[in-house]
Amino acid sequence: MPFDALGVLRTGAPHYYRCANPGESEGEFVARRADELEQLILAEGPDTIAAMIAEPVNGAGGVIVPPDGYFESIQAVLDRYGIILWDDEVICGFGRLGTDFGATRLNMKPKMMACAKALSSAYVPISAAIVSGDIADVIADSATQMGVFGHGYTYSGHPLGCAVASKVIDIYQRDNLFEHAAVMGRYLQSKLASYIDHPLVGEVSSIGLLGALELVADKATKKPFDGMQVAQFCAAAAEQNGLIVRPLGGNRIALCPPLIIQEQHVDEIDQKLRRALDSTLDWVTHKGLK
Amino acid sequence: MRLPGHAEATQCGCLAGGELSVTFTITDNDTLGTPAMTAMIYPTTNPSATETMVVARGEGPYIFDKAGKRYLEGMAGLWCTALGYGNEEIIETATRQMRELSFSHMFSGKTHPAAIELADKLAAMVPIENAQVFLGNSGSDANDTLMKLIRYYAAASGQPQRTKIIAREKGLSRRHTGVGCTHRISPKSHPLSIAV
Repeated sequence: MPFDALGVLRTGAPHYYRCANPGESEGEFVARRADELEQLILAEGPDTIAAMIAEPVNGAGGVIVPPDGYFESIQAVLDRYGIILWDDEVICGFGRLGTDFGATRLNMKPKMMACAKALSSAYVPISAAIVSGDIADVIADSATQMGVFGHGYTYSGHPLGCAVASKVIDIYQRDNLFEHAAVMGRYLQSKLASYIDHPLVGEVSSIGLLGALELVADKATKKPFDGMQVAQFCAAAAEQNGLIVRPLGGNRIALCPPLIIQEQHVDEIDQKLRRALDSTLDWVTHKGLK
Repeated sequence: MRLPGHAEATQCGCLAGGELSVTFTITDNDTLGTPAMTAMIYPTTNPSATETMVVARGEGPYIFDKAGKRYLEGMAGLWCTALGYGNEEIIETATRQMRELSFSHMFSGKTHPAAIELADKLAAMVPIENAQVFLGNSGSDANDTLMKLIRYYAAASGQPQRTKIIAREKGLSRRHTGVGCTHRISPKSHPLSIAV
């Protein structure tokens, strides 16, 4: 099946570091992204478009933290044409950004939401697809004519997943873990901020307990390294130091520690990651990649 | 070439010649009892690559490999282990639930207390008005479900043509493509008619 036939349209990423035009401010960049979205909608026909899907902070795509005001501007365009914001909270949901949901932190107004991962703190597999009451009502009102919503999994609502997720949410709320994540997140950011001075680091991106470093061949020109080998080396070096990080496309190193971490764990991340970066710089220099 | 047994990264550093030096040590399969690792197709892994780490146990924010080396889990597994490992309250809850009711499905209006409690909790906490919850197994299938609901909603609201989805560059194209490929739902009907 050709990709176009899926009915999936693409608009630009909210990645200021990589996607901004020369001299463009963050505000101008956000305005341009909103305008591009509107032009796409008008070109396709607004009444053919159901929804826009977005993670609050794009995770596996590089931990891309949108500039201030991004979702407010996007939301205004979507509202103009009756297009639903479909919020993928699989990574950001349940405290990751220091708030209950990423939507809360970034002022998104979704009518649909996908949750998983921290929903059960990964003790057992479970997910939740959530829709607003007005959408559910339209579906229910039409059911007599359209028939059953013939979708479901053997393990939809498995009692083990439900009991565990329910308990996990109780623990989050009882122990104020979303606020704890915000406090630890600020501490992590205070450590990561100085990484921008490292010769390999082009961008430091972080919000809550989520972060990424982009490793570049030339900081002045933002020249990227080829392939993923530099990030892979750095992740392997961190692993040897006793720290798990994840190399992502674009030679980005992602961090997403458990919400229960304390200051000493952030210190441990900082020390081990810095050593890994220094080893990576040695290797890059020996290889003549920089 | 695929190697038998487990391969563990035991050394990593920069050699004088500048080669990427990650040294793998092959160990035996005794802990698993069978040569099961070589029969595995791994997710999001080069199919010709070999295993790099056997994770044996977890404790708080740490995991331990088979040799006992400790790692701070700076990625919470795959962005997911928010409460860390070995939480006794959760283990106790799981044990109690399995003893009480180890399975019950949700088809045709059947339900059970743990599901109702969870749906009510979620509906009360999400920033969505009068939220309604569909439960599944993984984030990918939650998004698949929403894709189906969107199409059902489009038909139900008299706009069956309204099915396109806007995604973003650098978005999770793999998951989105999966969403699109696996659910070719007739906008006028309901997914019951589709053999999946």
